[in-house]
Amino acid sequence: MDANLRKRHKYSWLLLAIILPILLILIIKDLNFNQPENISYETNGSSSNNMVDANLTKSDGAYILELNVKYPLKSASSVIYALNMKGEKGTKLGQIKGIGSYTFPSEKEIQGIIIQDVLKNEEILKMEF
Amino acid sequence: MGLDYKLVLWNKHKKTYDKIIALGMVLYLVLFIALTLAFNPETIAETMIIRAFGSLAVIMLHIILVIGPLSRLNPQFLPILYNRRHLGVSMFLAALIHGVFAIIHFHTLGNVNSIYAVFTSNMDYGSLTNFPFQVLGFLALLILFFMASTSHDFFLKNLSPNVWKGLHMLVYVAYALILLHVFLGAFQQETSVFTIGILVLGFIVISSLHLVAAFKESKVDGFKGEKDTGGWLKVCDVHEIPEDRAKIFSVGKKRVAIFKYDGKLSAIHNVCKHQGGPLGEGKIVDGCVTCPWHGYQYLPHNGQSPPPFTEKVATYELRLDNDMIYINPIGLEEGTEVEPILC
Repeated sequence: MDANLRKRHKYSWLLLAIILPILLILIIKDLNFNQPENISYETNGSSSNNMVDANLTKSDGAYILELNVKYPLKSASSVIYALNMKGEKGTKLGQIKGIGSYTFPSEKEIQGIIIQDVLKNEEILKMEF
Repeated sequence: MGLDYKLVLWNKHKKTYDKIIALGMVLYLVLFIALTLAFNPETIAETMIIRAFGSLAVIMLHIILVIGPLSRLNPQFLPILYNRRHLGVSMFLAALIHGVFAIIHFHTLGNVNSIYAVFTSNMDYGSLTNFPFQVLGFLALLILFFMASTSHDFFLKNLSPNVWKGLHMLVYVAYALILLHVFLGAFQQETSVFTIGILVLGFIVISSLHLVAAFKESKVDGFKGEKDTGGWLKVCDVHEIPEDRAKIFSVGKKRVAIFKYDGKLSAIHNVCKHQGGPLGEGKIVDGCVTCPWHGYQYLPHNGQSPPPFTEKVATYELRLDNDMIYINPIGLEEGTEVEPILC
């Protein structure tokens, strides 16, 4: 290295030694290290049949619906809705595309779910917790 | 030294170093996978590959970054510096596997181009804690690719050692990007005090070593010797230079190495033509000044590499006055013959 490169090397590391710790402190400051211990999960309802397992949990004031679709629903477009207090179709939660696990967040408590084929306007499945 | 370009310049020592690197990488990967299976058995294969190669690349980058300053501070580390290039390319390959698997795993199932998705899947560019960390890793990978692909004597010769070294200093930018990538990436998903601690410790060690080495070099650059009436610079007593070794001084903006050998003194420019290695930290082997970095050789009285090699460095005139060495600060043309002075 010549004198110019040595100077560049020195100032590069001086700059990194100042800037990086500031950035890292600002990043760490907003992290919640106790998060996993503080979260409490409370099961609020569950239901299951030969096609679907559904489980509703409450965590930190919000609700999470976990859905495990075990068999194909034989529908081109399956949309899942929450049941309201009257047991009727309420808020739309999302879409189901096939077998697998799905997670739907909801701000309100869910009494149950209804899965509809929206193209044929047919009810595929209804579950109450 | 070589007269022509070869894809990989191997010799007995380099092969030994490369075997150690390969073995170390395999051992780390096996250990990582075994520990993951033991303590976190539900981890899927893709996640395991992404994490194993990512952490391996980070560890290797830390090792690469400490070699330079350690060699400046203690010549015993010079043999590791000799093989740093292969370590760098191996580290890039580990980082590439990490990056490719991450892009395949997280971005190929969408309806947009996977590279485009890296930049657009998280648009929280205004936030520090939720900043899209994958973008930082992608940019670092581009820098590492550029460096690995130019890590060859062909580019070194054609770009010139100064330009090449200047470009390869981009590794410091890559390190900063990778540090932030790991901080944000790992902690946006899984906040771990242990990982933060290891990375912070690594940063403290690396930056401290680089700064200590940089300030040590600044002292040599700041050397201001007194001049006699003829403009010659007074440098040191002849007994201060060990036999077959040199002492380095700054003459103007350049560094000069004054070698003592066979009862003679000669001065040449301190910077090796190969990769800019410090010739004055080498020694006289078979009558030639031998660069401590890669073994390039020069004759001390004319600064020329012995035939058939063609490298040349500038030479300087010396004078001895009551055991005190004086140097003419005006350097001569590269390869100019200068009669050594007897001591």
